[in-house]
Amino acid sequence: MTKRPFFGIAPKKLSYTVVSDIRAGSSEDVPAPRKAVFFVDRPFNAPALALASGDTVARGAVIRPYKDGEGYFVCSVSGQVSGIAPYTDARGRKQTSVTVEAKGGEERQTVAGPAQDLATALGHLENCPGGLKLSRANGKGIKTVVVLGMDQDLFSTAAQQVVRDFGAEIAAGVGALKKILGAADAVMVAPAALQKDAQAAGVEVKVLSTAYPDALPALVMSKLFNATLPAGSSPEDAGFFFVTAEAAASVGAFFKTGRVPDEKMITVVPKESGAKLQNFRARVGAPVADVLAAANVVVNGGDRVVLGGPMRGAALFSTDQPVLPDTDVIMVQAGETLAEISDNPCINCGDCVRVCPAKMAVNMLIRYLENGQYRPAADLYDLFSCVECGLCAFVCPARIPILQYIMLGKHEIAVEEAQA
Amino acid sequence: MNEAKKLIVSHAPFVHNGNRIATRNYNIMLAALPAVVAGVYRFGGSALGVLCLSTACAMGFELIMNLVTRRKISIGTGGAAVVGLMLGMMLPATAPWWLVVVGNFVAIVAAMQIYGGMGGNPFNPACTAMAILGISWKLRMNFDAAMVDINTNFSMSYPMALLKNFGPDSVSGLSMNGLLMGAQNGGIGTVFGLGLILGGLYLILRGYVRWEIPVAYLAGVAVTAALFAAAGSGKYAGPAIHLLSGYTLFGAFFLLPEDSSSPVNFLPMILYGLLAGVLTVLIRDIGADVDGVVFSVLLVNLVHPLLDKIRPKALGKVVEHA
Repeated sequence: MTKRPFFGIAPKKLSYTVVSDIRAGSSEDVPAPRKAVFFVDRPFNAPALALASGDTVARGAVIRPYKDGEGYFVCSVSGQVSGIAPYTDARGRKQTSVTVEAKGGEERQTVAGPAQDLATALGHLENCPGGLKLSRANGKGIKTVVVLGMDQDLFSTAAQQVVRDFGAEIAAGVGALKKILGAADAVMVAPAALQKDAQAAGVEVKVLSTAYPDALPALVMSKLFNATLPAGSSPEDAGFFFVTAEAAASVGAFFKTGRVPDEKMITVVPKESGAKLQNFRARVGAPVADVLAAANVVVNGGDRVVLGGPMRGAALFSTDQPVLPDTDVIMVQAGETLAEISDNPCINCGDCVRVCPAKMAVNMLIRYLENGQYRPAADLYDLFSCVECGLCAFVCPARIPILQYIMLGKHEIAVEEAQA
Repeated sequence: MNEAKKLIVSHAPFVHNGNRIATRNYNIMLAALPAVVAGVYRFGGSALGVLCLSTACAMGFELIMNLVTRRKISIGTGGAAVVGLMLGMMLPATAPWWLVVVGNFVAIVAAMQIYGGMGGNPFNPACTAMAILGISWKLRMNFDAAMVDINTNFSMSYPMALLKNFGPDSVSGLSMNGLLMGAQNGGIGTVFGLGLILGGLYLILRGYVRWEIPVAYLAGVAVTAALFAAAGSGKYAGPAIHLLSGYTLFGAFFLLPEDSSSPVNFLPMILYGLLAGVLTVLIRDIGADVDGVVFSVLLVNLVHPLLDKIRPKALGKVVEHA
């Protein structure tokens, strides 16, 4: 389904998985986990901790592990804290992980009549299912809230399932977000197959093409809003706040019920090619192994487990790692089917240049990146225009891990700038 | 913790379209096969000998260079085999063994491995070798002199030499059908025009050759030749002979689109092809070399990095005006 076609005068366009017949409510619930792991987005610092092993936490509670109150997570199980440790995520961000052992008792903490303001939302919803990055929008003068009613990666149908299942919540969430951010406009973008469901949000709906990677914010902006996102800046800088349909639904549900949602819609992609894709709902923080067990997927040594889609995801080193707020896909690949990567030099065939949605000169960029020339790569060959779709590495006949080099380049420049 | 289950960890993307360098190169060789078979049929067993020796030599030199420079053995990718085959296809069927060996030494060692191997060569390696052989051993590389002992049922006067020395009237008797079917003197794999066109179309359809380069090149040759013919009043030949004789078709589909030495953006590819076409006819009509394709390829290889600077504006690139 993703192989190069026999005839290839123009590079083949990849398509998102659009399931026109996703049945409403067809997702399956994953049983409550016995253990859950949460990440707080700040480096581990033992002396500053307020939380300790053995502390009791309740489902739905906002837990702030540090004395200064910076950074929090919303617990999705009731039980006892069993460990607090440093953690570095796949992008090299230093974080604090908190492990909670579930101990029966599922009474859920609620917020009585939450006020529809930014402070309440910032204090409860930062890591709700769908991943709401509200703090990025804070003080940016957001004009337009854009709800992404489409999945961001191949194979995923989770976002489409949410659009189909939670129309009312999305509508409430969009209204709340507009109010909180003081935005004048709200627009929903969704594929043609989901137009009817998207209308339920009660805002203007724009039709999104199903060609990968047209659902990425930078491309949505350029193709549907005719607005160019300057390289290296965020949509929020330009007055756009992008929110996934699932996060919008979480916002809506929170302001309606006072409960912070903690169940994430996930598409499981099994090893067998052509196997049916099934959507599951699992608690944020539950081990990936639980979801795979519910989907009857067996993982063997030498396999690859990917969190978040085949083009943009991150590989796991253990299935004990948790479901994250923005995990749309859990994909398992059999070890013997993995495509190799290599240290072959670029042969300048130009396939990457023709497939790049950001029109970058990838063939030249990779020469700089391979040699550690990150600054010239950014200045001369548009490193920061990259939308990180992964198509260049997908088509590369030399099997160069181009996206990895690009991410490394961006990371190194960020480190350099942080030190300066 | 999780003891036995070691998972593979790598960076996104986790899927690939299955293309690889070896597939590209084997397809190029496959596309060259009709012209190769026709060349062997026209010129006999010695042509097969030259082709085999050339391909083997290229791979041998690459292997030696891999070992000497202590790099990964790269002959499996077929890059060297393609260069050897291309060089063999351009040589006369009577080329002595030492000429083939020297040519491949130049192509693989001096024109490719010195620059870091596959992907690093600034010039087409086979063309570099042909240029050096042509300058160093003029008679051996002169098709009329070299092929004098080969008996065929068609005229063995090299059309390009006729054109240069005796004007367009001397080639007016040649049948275009004959030229297309390979009834002419020339390099082993470069005489069968129809086979080269079919091979080129195959490569374009499969996506291994960018159509812009051969199309622009052939257009450049045709237009320039037509202009010369129109202006020269009988002094210069029309486009047909220029397209079907010499290395023109071989250059269009196999030499110019060589990955490492050709541009990848749309406008640069068109300019690159056109420029090579104009240069080819200029060299043929008013230059010194009888064929001109080899030197025009090398000359446009030289400007390719400059041409490739013409590229679309990247997404979100903000041009600051001082």
